[in-house]
Amino acid sequence: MKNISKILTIIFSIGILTSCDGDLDVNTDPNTPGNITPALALASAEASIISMTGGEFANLGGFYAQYYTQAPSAGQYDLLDEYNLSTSFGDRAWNELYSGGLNDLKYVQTEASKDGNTGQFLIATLLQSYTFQVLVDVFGDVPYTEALGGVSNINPRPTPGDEIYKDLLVKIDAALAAYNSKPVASGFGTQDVIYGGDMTHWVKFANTLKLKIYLRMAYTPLANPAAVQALLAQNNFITADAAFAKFGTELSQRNPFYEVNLSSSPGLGDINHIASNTLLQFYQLNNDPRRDAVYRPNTATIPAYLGLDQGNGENLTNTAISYARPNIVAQTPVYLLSVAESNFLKAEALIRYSGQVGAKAEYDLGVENSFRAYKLPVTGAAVLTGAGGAYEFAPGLPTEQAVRQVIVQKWAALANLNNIEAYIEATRTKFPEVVPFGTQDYSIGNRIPSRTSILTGTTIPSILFYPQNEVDRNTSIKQRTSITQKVWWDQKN
Amino acid sequence: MKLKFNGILVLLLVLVTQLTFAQERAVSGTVSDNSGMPLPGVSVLIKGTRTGTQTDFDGKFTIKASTSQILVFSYIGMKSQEVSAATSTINVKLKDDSVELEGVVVTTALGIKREKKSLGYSSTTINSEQLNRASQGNVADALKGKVAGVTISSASTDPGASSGVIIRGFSSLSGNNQPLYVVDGIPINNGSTYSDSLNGGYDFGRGSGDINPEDIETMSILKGAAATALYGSRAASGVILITTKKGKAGKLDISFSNATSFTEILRTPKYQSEFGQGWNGQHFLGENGSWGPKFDGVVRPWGNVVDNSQLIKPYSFQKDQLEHFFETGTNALNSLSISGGNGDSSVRLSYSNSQQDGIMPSNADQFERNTLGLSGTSKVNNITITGSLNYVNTGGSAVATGQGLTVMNDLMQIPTDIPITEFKDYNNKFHNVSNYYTPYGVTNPYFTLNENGSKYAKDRIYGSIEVKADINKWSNIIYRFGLDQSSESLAVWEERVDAAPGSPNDGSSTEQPGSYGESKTIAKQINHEFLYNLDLKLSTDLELQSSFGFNMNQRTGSSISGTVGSQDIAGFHSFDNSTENAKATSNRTERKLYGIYNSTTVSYKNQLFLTTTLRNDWYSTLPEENRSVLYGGINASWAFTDTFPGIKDVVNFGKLRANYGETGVDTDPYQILPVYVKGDIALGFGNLTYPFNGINGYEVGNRAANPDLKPERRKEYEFGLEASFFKNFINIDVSYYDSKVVNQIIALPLAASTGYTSQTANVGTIGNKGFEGLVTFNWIKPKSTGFGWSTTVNYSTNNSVLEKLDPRLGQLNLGGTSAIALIAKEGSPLALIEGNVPERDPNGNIVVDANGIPVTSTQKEVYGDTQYDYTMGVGNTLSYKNFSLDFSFDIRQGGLMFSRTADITRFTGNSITTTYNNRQPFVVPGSVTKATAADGSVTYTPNSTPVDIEHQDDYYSAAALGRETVIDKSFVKLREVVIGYEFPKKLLGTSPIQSLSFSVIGRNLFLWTPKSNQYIDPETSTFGTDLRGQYGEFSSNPSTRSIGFSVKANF
Repeated sequence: MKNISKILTIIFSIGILTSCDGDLDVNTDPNTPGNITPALALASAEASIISMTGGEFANLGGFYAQYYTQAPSAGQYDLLDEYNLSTSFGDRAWNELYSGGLNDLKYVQTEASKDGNTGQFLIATLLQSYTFQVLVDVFGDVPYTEALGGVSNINPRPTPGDEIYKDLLVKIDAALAAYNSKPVASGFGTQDVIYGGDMTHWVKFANTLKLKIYLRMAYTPLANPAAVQALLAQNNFITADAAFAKFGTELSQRNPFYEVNLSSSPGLGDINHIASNTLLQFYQLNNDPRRDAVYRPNTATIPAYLGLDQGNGENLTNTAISYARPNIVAQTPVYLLSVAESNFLKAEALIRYSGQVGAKAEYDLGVENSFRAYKLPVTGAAVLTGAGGAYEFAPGLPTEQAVRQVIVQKWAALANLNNIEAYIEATRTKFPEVVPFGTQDYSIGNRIPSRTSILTGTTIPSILFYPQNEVDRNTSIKQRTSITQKVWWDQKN
Repeated sequence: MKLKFNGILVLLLVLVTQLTFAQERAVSGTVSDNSGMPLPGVSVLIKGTRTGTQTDFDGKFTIKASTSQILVFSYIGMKSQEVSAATSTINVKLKDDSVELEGVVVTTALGIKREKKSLGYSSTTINSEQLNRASQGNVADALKGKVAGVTISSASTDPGASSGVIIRGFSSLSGNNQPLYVVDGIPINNGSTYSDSLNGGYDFGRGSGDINPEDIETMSILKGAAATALYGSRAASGVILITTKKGKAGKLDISFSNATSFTEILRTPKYQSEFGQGWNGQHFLGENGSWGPKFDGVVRPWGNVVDNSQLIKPYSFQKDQLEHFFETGTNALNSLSISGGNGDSSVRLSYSNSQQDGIMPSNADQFERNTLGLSGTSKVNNITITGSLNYVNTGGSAVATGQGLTVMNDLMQIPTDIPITEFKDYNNKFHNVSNYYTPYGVTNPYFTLNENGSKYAKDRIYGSIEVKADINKWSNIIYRFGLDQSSESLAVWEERVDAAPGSPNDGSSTEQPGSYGESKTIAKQINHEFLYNLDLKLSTDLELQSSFGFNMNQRTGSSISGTVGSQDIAGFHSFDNSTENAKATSNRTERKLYGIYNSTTVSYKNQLFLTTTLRNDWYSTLPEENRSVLYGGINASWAFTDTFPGIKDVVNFGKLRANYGETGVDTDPYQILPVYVKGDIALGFGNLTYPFNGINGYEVGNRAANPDLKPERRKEYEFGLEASFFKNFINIDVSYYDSKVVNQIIALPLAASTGYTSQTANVGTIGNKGFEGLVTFNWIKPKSTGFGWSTTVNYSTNNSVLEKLDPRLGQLNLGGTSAIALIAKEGSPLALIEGNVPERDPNGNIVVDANGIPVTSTQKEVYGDTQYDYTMGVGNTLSYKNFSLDFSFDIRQGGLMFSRTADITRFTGNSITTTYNNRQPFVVPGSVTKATAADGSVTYTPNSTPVDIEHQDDYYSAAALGRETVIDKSFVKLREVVIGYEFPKKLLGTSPIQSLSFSVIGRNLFLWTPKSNQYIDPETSTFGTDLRGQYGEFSSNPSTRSIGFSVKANF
């Protein structure tokens, strides 16, 4: 017996001694890698950004730019179409853009700095600036200087939108300068889904993005004609669409708007979005062939392209299949910036800051490139912009009226491609105007207040609530009182 | 092999024994109680044999026995007596068993047996008879309403669904508040296999559901930290200690039981009976709701026109429309055991089979469980070897819950005038998916029921080996090894819904590509335990017991799963049956725990006891600096009636107890270090997931690292009193406890603007304070009159409060939906339900929109908390001679829950709550409209716009009125009624049957709920059986009541 207890005592002691360390080091997750490359992170960041701008925001923009309205006999987006948004509406986009896209881009920047790769750093900086601009444009003042600090600051305070804008330009210029002084190819290859890692395209993207940022400031004291003129003089803007165009056809590989809204599984089954008369009638009354590219004909009866006035969905005898619906398929690309958009940016810049010289040419090119994006013959564009055509550019108009022509065309060129940008630009420029229902002229580009609006008069939302998640978790964010408040650049009366 | 051989030996032995005794003669006499009244039905047994008889109505008995034998007289409520059979006439007086409580021996943590009076903490022990009286197949369900301070929640009464046990409230925000199950000293897995997906949830039960209740000898529920400290972190939510039945020396025992029951639907939502199919007050034939005109009984066409024909029926209310859909379910539980032993060895073999077919009109809801158990023990010299091995095989199919194409969602969107059973033939041209009457996201429920499905199967082996060596009279050493390994497979599929081209439902949202998913999971737990026990008499009055232990526990798991998002060939379900490639994922986990501990009890005069426990754990799941955790407890017990025997006439037994204890709690594996994860973006409906098109993506994980994570620590004190008055006329057992769990570990939600969305962190303190009491009234002891009656009442209140929350956090989101959420706030009960409310003007008037419908406020409000104010169980046992009647009520008061059944039946206008003002236009009382001018100034004007019939559906489903979908979850249930009959020994005569009993059993027979709940059985949940389950139900399957019978026989 004595022996047994001795042996057990020994086993005991050994057990205790070995228990403390070594053997317990089994807490490294075997299911995830210990390290990744910037190229892998970049692909993820791009997917995060386009999933939101081409998904949640494409939906929001689609309603607010009045491309789509809620179909009768369904109601997923009733509240959106009524301007009766809940405070949690922005949760997903906000979360994905900050903790997905921006955080991954920060990783790419950190790694690129370590490696001295100025190309990778520039690409990451551009996508980061693009994302912050979208965040400011829809949410107003957002965490910026204190953002992305991890647990060192879990309540980042928002930075005023104008300061963010100024800093974005500084950051882009710095990254550009670093790249130009010591160019290093990104080497991203196909992992850069947008431009295949091609630095030439990204430098052009940088200029176009800067132009977009400057023009957003047009109605503010920060408007900077000299800087815009310098950009125009350099004239090195995008020549290829900045688009995410590698969607597959299978589950979890498809265009985000399609996956969520049009696919029948896991999506909502193509029953909520139908053509809003605002855009449908604009195309139709102007005999614009883009109607057939932007919308699918209904599968029921004549007329094949039937729409509803915005928000006028309370008609129970029909369902979505009786109306024209958005022509977005599994592999429709999501655009960050399109060449057509670049043309319209230039046209506006020329009107504002170069006495309209060359504006018509850019305007015409914009319409033409829009046709290209929709895979329509460009001859159709020439008919519309040519002499006597419905969209013929009228030269010499006062600035605002001249700009109106450009913005209405930009609005007509962004449908399905960048809905949220169309809405943001409409908010900035007030074009197409919102007029009381009954007084609208769809042919010239007029929006109406949603027929089920809970707001009064011609008021439509100009900003989103801060996402409820963020308000709940970040004590520095105070919820705003109304979605009729203004983003900092929204200064035109 | 050795064990089996022993079994055969036992058999032989018994036969031999029976042959040897030859010199028997008749012994007879009378048995009476203290007052001299004869006692009928007293068991008279010859000690060491299975020969016995019972006294007749006059208390008389006759038995054959030899002079050297001893007779054992036993009777419920009386002390057993042994009398030598030396004389041929024996008259016996049995005494009241007034010291019943005192003598009870219970099993404590570590499997050490102790007298109950020595315990300084609350422990409730349920014996086999109590547990199996109603022949419940699931051990947790069998505890319902029986133990104070313990809340049993069943996710549903679906076959095989899990039952959770919450002891003294929620102590962890992490979502695991289940007790640790310890079977014969070895912890077993109690994980739950369920999905709370809003689009197709299921529940295939918990690990504890694999235990065959008939194998259980006793079950002790250890509630507080002091009681559980020795099991470490895993016992922080209490311990359920199970001691299994063993073979008994000298007896060959064969027992068989059968329980068969029939189930039917218990509660369906109450439907209004005045308005039928339509929307906006008009009669539309495609509508999935009852917003049409008033019933007029006129025969009209309904459904779609197919081949130029259409069905007709009267436009009138269908009574019990939902009930007709369901059928009677069946449950059968059979168990058989053989056990026996000789002097130093015993063996027991058991088998049970449980088969359930639920109330859905198909085999889509069924479950089967087989358990096979073998245990044996043998003593050679000073070494005792005990072993047990259990094999469990379970499997079944479940009907999905939730929104989308689920049976319940299909059913609840059928207008009140359509006879559901018409749809039974779902291939009928009017009712197939192409022509089904509505295109609105639901289809024929019979199609969904029969074509969608799931298949689950689990094989599990668990068991233990214990070697005990007695070193000397006062000490021994024990080594225990435990193993628990299970492999599960689960397949879930949805049939493609493809309406024929040009048919009414072609292009509708009902069309689905189908899906198939399958997963395999292996879980394994290994446990080693060394124990050194000593028991010393220090002096005549002072005794010391002490145990030193070392524990090593390792849990590993691995799983692979795949899904494919479409199915092609109808009626066939596989990864291959798709135009897409299946996507696969895999996962492995491992965690380890080492612990050393000591437990020491000093007792004085066997009436004053003091126990200390001390344990140090090392956790693999915590950062190296924080992985070593020391904790312990102290408890004291004083059997004061032994100190003051003078009061025994009034208080025949009394004991005071007090304790304080701490327990450390670790977390899940892999929570500390940062990770990089696959690029996967959630889109709301669906995802965008790498890789595709030859591109892969990985990203910085959304969980921030936490190298400083500390263990949670539970600290609890408790006071209690156990006492029996007037010779056990009243027994009470009450406790008050106050516990705190500090350093709560949860996934702390971070504002996304930090770059992360969560961090596993220590964020707060949960406090639980409560009172629990158990009172037994032995109104009439079953003796002379043959009539007995006792009542047991258990009552408990528990107040879980999130006492502290990281000041950086306003509140915590624990689950639910974005509109109505389950949250926790500092200083508030755990957990709260928060949701939308109407916007109000500064005077408190409700702001309405142009249609007169309340506008949603941007500020959500807390509707209330989800906790029961109190829970109560009332049980009665009546007996008359060989008959007995048991019935018990389960009462739970207070608390809120979300009900999607409420939500959807209000949306469809089916609910009885949707007929306010007879559906005539009404103005929301005290409502105003709001106008915002361009300059932002706001004016409010009294509202005069009524909610007209066209907008009443919008009113009843308005987001602002979310509170209406949250109901009071109070209920009273007639939980169990058992009428039993024990066949008298006389009747069984010389048959091999030793005892035979027959029972009629009713379960959940009646349910009473408050008026606000017109919808469901509030016990149902589709969010599991833990903290998240408090949120409520998301179109759960209906619960059932059951009636059946059982037969139990011993040979």
